[in-house]
Amino acid sequence: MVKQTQEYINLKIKNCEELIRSATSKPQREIYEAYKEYWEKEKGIIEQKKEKLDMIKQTKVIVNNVKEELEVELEESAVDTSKTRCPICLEEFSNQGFPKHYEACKRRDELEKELETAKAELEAESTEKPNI
Amino acid sequence: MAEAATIRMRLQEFKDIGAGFLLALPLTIRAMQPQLLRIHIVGTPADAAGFSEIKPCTAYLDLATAVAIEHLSSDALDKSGAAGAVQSFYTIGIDELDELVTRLETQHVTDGTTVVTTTNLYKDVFHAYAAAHGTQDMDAEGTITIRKIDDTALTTIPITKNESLGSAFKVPDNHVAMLAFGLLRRLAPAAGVYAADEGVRIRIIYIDPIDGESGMAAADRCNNWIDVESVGGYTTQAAGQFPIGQCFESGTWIHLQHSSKVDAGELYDLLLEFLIWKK
Repeated sequence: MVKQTQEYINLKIKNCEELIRSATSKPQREIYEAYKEYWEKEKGIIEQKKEKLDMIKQTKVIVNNVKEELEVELEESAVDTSKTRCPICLEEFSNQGFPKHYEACKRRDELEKELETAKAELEAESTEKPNI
Repeated sequence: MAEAATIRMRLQEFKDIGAGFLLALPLTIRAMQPQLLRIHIVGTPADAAGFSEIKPCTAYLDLATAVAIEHLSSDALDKSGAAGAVQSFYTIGIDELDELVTRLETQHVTDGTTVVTTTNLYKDVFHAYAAAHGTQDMDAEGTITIRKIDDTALTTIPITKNESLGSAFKVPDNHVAMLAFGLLRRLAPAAGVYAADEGVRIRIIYIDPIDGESGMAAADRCNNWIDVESVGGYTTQAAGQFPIGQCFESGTWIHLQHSSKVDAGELYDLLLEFLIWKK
């Protein structure tokens, strides 16, 4: 059986129109008009189906896009969850937060060392006899 | 047991009917040049418990105004070109003049699957059979469908066959049909102890126009029928049960049903001849 495509239905409608034109009596024309009406209704149904199909296709594209976005986010969030141990304080930090911490930790470490040095110098100075 | 039946329906014009019983008819009827509708069926009923219609058409036009119909095959090779299989077929139906007719319909010339709209007009189609074949094959390569413009199938010539479904017919308006001859035979007894005592029942149902009207409740209908039985193998003993001479009014539908009496699948052949003339 021929597949009921839009093209096929258009042919049927055209055929009905020819039959209506060549009808030899009013009742006969009415029968052909009823057939044409039937095919126009079928055409409407096919068009509705096509619209639905287009909508489904569009929805599929949107879903795919969202899926891709989510996958990217998931990948990113996967990076966030991995951790790096700070070589200075030996604490663990997220990769994202580590550089900032490292800079701060390094600065703190340097300051601590400077403080230690300054303290030592101060102590050494205090133990020396005053040169009066 | 699946039902099976091959139906051969043929319509013969007055000039083609051998004299025989025509001579017994009153001159008034002979003057109307009656046609002869011959239905020959070889079949096996599906069951013994109930009747089923013998290979009916899928649908009927049953119109008051004649219209064009369509036909096509499921196989491209059923084309009217020289290399085709079934190139054309005859239909038996009622035309725009309320005459029972045999009409030739020709398949598309290059592609059997292409729809052909008939120029012949029909109020009804009861049967179809192949008329000519090409070099491809001597029977249908695909299923040939005869249908309405809205694609509702009326009848089909099945793949590898030359005859369509359809054993029922309607007496055209302003005509009378008379059962002129009937013969029912069992062709072979089925296997079994009581095989020879089994039998076949044929039911000729006739529905008057008023009973066939749509919207009528089933309980209000008066669908009369004629039952004919054949018992025993290889006999013709049932032939006398046919009410030869019974007439059916115009607009009457005549359907044929069959049933096995004891075991399903009893093989029979049935020959019915109706004389049909204009009132």
